[in-house]
Amino acid sequence: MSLMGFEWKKVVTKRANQILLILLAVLVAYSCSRAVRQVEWMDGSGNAVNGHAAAVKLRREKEQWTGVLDQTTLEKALAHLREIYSTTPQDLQQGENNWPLRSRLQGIQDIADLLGLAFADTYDTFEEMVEKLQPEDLSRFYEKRVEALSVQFFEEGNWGYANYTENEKQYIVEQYQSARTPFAVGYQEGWVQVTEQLPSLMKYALILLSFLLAGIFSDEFSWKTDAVYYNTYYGRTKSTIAKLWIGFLAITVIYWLCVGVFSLVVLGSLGTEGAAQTLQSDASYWSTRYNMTFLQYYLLTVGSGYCGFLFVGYLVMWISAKTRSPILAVLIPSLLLLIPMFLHEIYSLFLRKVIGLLPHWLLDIPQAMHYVYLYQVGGQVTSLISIILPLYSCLTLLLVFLCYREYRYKQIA
Amino acid sequence: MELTITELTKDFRKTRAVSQVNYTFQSGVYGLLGVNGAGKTTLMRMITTLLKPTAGTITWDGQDVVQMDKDYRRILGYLPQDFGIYPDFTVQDYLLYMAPLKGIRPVLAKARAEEMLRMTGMTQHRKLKMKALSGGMKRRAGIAQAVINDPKILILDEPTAGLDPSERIRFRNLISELATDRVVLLSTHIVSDVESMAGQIILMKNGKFVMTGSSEELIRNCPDRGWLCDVPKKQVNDCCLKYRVSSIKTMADHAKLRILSREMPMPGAVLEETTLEDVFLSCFGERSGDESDHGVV
Repeated sequence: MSLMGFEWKKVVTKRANQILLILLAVLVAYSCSRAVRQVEWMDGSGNAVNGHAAAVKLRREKEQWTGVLDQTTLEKALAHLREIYSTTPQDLQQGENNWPLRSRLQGIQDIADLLGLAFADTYDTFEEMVEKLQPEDLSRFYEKRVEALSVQFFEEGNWGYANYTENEKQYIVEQYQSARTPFAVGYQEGWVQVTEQLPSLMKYALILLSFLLAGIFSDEFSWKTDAVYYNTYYGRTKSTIAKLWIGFLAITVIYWLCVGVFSLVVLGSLGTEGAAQTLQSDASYWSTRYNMTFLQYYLLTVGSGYCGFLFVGYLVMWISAKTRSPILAVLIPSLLLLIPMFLHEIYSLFLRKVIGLLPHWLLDIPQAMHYVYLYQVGGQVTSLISIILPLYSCLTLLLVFLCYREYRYKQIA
Repeated sequence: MELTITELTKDFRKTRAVSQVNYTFQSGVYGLLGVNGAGKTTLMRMITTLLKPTAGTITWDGQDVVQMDKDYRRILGYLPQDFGIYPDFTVQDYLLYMAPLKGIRPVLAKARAEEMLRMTGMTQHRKLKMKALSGGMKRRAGIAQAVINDPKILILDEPTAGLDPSERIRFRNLISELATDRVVLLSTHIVSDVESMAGQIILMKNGKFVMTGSSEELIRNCPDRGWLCDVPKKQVNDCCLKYRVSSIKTMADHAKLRILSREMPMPGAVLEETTLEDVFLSCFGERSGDESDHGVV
């Protein structure tokens, strides 16, 4: 067995690590079940179905609306909405008993939401819009989208965005304008759920993984094997590199196993349709400035998550090598991931930009999609995601070097 | 084959643990004796490159060991006082791991591990997990790892601490077998161990070498002598306050005291042969009682 083999054996034979792996499996199973159950379908009597069965029914409902969201589809959708509203009794349109309406809208809900958002400035209520919107207005749908988003952006300026430079404002509008239109729409629940639920899975999995990684370096101290280890021929060189590789291997295997199993189960259960659909075709991503398809969005989420795992993983290893304390090694990165969750109410643009550079965004691309963090690099305006990926890739490499250096020159008193 | 330390000094904040020590070690066994805090472990950790000296140098055959880096560690074997283990490794796994870690080529690792198991009498325990080993077996695994690379310099820090008498004898014999053609430096509290194993003995106090030489030389140069005195029971306490007493044997109406003194301490005292324990007590005085767990005084 090679040095790497023995380093791997140290990790996998440790009882605490075996328990961690079981906990990770439980976490993945729970996350899969939670994500699949998020999809709901309701019949006219208000009886809800969740999970795979709901996905099958919803897919059937959305089938006729799958395609490009052009003038024809919009007109057809408006007519259908009018028909739904005109044939549903008034008392079943609002309040808690609006199941018949909700049930009939399920297939067209995404398009209805997009119409509502685009024409929100003209009509007070959705019902009014359905009643009064003219087919010829629909030709301005994408134009209205840019207008509505620009207004929303500049209104947000009232609580902290006012300090954006002209360059930044222009960049935002250009981003909205450059969205590929007409949108591709249809059933996309598998991709929505898999991307929305991944951040929680990633955060908890990373915290569990941190306990495992913290031991790779600090166990030599807690087992008191450090004195022998460090005065061996390869203790400060080849074996340290083996430890760094084991860290990489543990992060990579565990990350891709968690994400892979989760994605397979969720997409297998809810379907992979909608991979090529425009991200903004889902109302919750209406205002995002990142123009991409659901598949690209998924790849960005998992790629960025992997980058976050590598960064936090090596940070844990470096702290554990430096302090010899696995507790501290787990605590610091965990705080780094969790603290920003409590800082949403910060209105200072500068502080928001600083928070925007924290590594938790790497694990939460769906949230990052919604925030307006802009940075100027060499006169070019760029977005948060374009900054943090290269930034943390470089920092990860630096941490690998620091870990090696720490072990190479460690003194044992 | 020469390990030389020159003006070797180590400071920890305001404490000087090792102070300007000079010595040359050649092939043979060297016993390092000293009370707790004398600087033995710090000295050993500097020799094993685990600690950087504050000042001074360590050279092996004229080459600075810091410059030699891993080439120096290739010829080094070390058994620390707190010998730690990988709890879930078997003894065999452990040796198979230590072999490549110490630069032994993979093709030779297995044979070398087998040899070490045989040498330390651990062959039948090879499949035992290390967490299941007794204290004595752990020490044997420790010495096996220390010599698996056939080191030119073998550093053993308190190798017999915590072992029962039969394990200690076994261990002493093992070290004596290993002593040929290498520098062996061992520290211990157990004077009899040093006496039976070490050709040269170094007494270390307050970070300095205070006496060096063979057992006979140290005894010869010791200013104190051992006197056997019969003392009435009620005078025992007074004698303990007045003299260095290395042993007390209480009889029915009196006590037999072994007193260390340059002159005859009292009329009727019988001069006895000076031992290495007397030298130790003479050198370290009352402080040697701090760690009299193995009957040093």
